[in-house]
Amino acid sequence: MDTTASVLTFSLSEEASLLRMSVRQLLADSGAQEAARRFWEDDRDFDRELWKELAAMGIAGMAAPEALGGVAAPWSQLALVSEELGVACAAVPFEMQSLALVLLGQLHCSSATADLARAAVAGERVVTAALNLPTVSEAVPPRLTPAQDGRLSGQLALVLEGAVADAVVAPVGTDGVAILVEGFEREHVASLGMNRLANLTMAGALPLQLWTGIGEHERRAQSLGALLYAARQSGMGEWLLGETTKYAAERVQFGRPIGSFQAIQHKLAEMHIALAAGRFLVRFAASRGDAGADVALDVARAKSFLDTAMWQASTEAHQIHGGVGFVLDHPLHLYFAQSRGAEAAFGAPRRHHREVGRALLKGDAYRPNVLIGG
Amino acid sequence: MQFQLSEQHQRFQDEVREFVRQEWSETGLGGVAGAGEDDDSEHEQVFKRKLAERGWLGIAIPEEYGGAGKRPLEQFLFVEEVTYWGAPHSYIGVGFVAPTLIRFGDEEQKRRFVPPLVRGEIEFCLGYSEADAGSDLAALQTRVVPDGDDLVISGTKMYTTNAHRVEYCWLAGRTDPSAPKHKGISLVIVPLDAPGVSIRPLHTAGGERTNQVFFDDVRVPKANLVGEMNRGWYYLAVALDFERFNGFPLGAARRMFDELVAYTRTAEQDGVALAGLDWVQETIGTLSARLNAAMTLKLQTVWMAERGEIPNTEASMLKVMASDLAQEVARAAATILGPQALVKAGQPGAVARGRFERALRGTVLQRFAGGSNEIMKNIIAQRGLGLPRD
Repeated sequence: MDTTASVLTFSLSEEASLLRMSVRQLLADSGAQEAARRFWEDDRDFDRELWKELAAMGIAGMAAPEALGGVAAPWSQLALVSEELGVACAAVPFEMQSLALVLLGQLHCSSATADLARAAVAGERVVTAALNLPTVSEAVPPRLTPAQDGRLSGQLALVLEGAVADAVVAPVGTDGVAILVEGFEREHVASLGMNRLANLTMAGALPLQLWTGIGEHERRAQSLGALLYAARQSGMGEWLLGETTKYAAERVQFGRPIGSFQAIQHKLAEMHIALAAGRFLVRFAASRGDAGADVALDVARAKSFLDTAMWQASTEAHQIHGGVGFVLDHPLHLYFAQSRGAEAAFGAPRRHHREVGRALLKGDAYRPNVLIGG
Repeated sequence: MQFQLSEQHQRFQDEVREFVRQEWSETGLGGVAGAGEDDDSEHEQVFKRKLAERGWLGIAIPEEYGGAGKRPLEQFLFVEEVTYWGAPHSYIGVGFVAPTLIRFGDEEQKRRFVPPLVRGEIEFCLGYSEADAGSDLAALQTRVVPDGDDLVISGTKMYTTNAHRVEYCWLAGRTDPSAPKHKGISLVIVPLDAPGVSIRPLHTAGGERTNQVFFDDVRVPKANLVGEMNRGWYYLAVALDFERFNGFPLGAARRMFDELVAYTRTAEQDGVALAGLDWVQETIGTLSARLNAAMTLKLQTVWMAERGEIPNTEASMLKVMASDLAQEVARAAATILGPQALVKAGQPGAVARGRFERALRGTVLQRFAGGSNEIMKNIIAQRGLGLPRD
């Protein structure tokens, strides 16, 4: 006899609500959005003060398993934090560190690696991963080549958080990864919203540790990356919609608020529809993932949908704000930039659409009437 | 957002599917929202009676009015299953009229109309739009004049779909021409076999028939007035919320998408396998994401209903996305399949029984019917985002 009831809810659990509110409060109190402006001209650094506070709250390394000092936070909680970071446009390396820690948590770590991970959890070190997916093709990006003596060589281009990371989890050979803390050259690359980017060059670098045969873990880490950047987009969208609606209600032209004109109302309504659905897709993918389902396609759908929605939202936000929102005094430009960067992280829309389409077209079992997911 | 069906609810879905397969199968090309072909009419009636016998026609109507008293979630599962397979249900009578009547009608009216609706013995059409009152519905002019124990109705309603096949019209008329337009409207239930009612068919590009209905001094008892005189606009607003919440199931669009995927899997054009083409994969993937997105909006309205709320902004958001999507799926089929998608049902080389051809025409309606998407966006901006009226 089935005693389990169906679950349908759009409410956050009490625990999740508390997490969300406390992160939101912290970001507001610490002036995260204001601090983010400092890095518009030069993003070789990040909001270290905020990062320390997030570490003190147990957030910076929450993704790590307990053995590495974290709390093995479920994906739904990680995504919620990313959403809040998106609302404030916070300049901290949460997403990349989270996926690096999750990946390390799946592997057998030496004590040196474990110490490093714990330092990252404590906010004293930053660890990133050079595992970004190509946006357009299914080509395999360059991986480091191991020599007989275990030293690694190669070039890793446009590594997210590469400019500030103390340690990099890098792809090696066909299905391995290594963690490196030294022996590589770092070249910062300024970009539109791809945070703290660097080209890394390894010429015989000795890794702290090397693993092979971990293909599935790598893919899952990339899926988490896509989910968390989608969650960032979702949070940024929330801010954009709220801020733009407020502006439209206050800005008077032709004797009335511009938000009373249908053209403006329709733009905002369209934003609201797309961002609401996108938010739900992220949370759905995260909660399904936590329940143990394979959510590769759900994540692909959530990311591609939100990236598309956010192109619309960020450009229309600028359109509605006009000149007021285009000067650097106004924070809008930060969100536009970050949204472009978030789209370029872990697969742009067409790539994800292709992946989903391929999966559906390949299936030979006709599963009728799957309501959602599938 | 979390959504997981219990085994019991999954079995319910299977049960409905089996039932539809056995009792309806697929005649014609039903599945595009609205009235089916006229020649389906008898088969539809028989099917609806069978649904009623199973207790499914009025699945979420309270038991005291003859319904099964189930939750909005069960109603949602039932409607999504039934519309997926192109089978009919009572989407107007049970979907919008009954819940509004239960809220605002008197006990006698509820007992007179709801149980027969639930049994499949009667059905309603909506007497809202007129030639000069579509999006500006409050501008309606059909007169409802009290005369002794009766109300006398004169005027003309437009796009009264199904008037030719149902027993009653759920009519919005003007009872006080001197009041501001929203404050002089009343809701009346009008039997369509009353003297003075005449119906003129209007055939549409989408293939379904609608009607113009003339009311020539039609008398109905005062007992057919729903709620208070001149308060009709407020009841109508609730009925419209139900229409947006219940009237745009995703089943038909999802079925069309699944058919497109199934067909494309093995389709070749001039020796090229369509499923191997990048842009075809992307088109399918884009639609998959959008269908899932629309379903989250639908589920939100179901969740709200489960909490006893009537979705307003959320129902409007759903309506916009669902109607846009239905057209997008049809369009995608046309772009992927090319000329084959345009071949009509029964013609040489028709694919998926001409489903896509018919959908290309039929889905045009959805973006302006049931509240045009432009009006929906006004509601979303004004009610949802708090922006001032134009």
